[in-house]
Amino acid sequence: MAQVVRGIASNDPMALALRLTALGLLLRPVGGPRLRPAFLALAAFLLVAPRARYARVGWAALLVLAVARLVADWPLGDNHAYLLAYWCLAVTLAFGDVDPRGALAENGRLLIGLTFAFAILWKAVLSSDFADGTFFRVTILADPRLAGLAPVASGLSPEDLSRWRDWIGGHALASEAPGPVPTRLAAVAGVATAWTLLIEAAAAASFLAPSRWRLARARDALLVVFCATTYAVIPVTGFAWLLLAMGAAQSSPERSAWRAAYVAVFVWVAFAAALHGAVRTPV
Amino acid sequence: MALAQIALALGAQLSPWLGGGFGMFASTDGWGRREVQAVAVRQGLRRTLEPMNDAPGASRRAAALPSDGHLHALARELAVLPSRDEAPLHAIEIRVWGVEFERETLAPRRVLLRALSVPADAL
Repeated sequence: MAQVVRGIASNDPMALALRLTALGLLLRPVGGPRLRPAFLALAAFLLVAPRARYARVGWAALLVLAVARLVADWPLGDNHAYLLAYWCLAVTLAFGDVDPRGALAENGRLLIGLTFAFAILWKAVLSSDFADGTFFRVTILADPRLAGLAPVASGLSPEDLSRWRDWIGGHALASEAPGPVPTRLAAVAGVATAWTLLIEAAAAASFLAPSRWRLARARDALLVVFCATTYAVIPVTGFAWLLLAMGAAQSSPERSAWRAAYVAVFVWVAFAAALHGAVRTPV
Repeated sequence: MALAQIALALGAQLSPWLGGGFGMFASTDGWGRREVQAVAVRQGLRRTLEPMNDAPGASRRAAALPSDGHLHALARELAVLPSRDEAPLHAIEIRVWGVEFERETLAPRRVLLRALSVPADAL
């Protein structure tokens, strides 16, 4: 953590981004039984050895591991696995550039923008059940990761929640729904749907807009707000930490306050995930 | 990769959550909600198998992306499992189901994503 604090103060976005990437891999190990030890060892080495952290070979090795993980898991790898591979490729390529910091900042910006662009394409256009609120209605009630949130968001008693989960899971003995969708659940799902569409579209537009546009000035604020809110509710730490590392990489060297914000949200996401683990109940 | 994921999701039933197209948390069609059924067909006998128990890895892949390759791989794993039936195996039939939800009642409705019968001589 002392290294991360030094990274904020050093006015070097790349230094902070690389440290956050390695730290995230240490805190949230990835890969199956064969690859995980290699990921952990390499991430630890990159975190404690500055010369290795600033050498292309270390990140190329991490890229090889990330791609091996994708191949071994195909088609079951999730978005984090792909984003990690893209990011390792970006870092590896940056070290071959005459301006590594500039190259990493530019690739970090584009990766964030494209990630949000494809996410919003899925949610707003390709998915048949996101924009109408069905996704959040089902997910709030049935996703174990939201078990702590479900009673508050739905207003249902534990017994009624259990009935709804049986119904959604197709395990209900009765042929009729437990009741109408609770008003509070419909409202919360509606707000969550609208908020997600709004902030992801804004983030995509901001990060993909040319830097001279006024919209581009909102990049850091949008990413910080997105991660602080979304990952407080849905504890997907690995993805959040990658986005925050890329956000730090593209931040302006003169604006250390945003790097402090990225680190604060990094810690907040870890805290929220721990809290979710504490309140999660069997479903 | 992301464009390939969209093509696979729209054309080959890849779960939107997978494949690197950033479709996580965009659809209720996660691969964990999908169901894989398998039946061993023998002379005068159809025996239901339990693919998720007997071949979990291949079943998860078949659920996530029910392509010919993944369904054949699952059929091959199921075909070599010990069986109490003595009649020769004719085929392994596999069905992959998804779930859709009605918005107002959240009633689940099963949707057949893919069905394939793999003859014994192709195993």
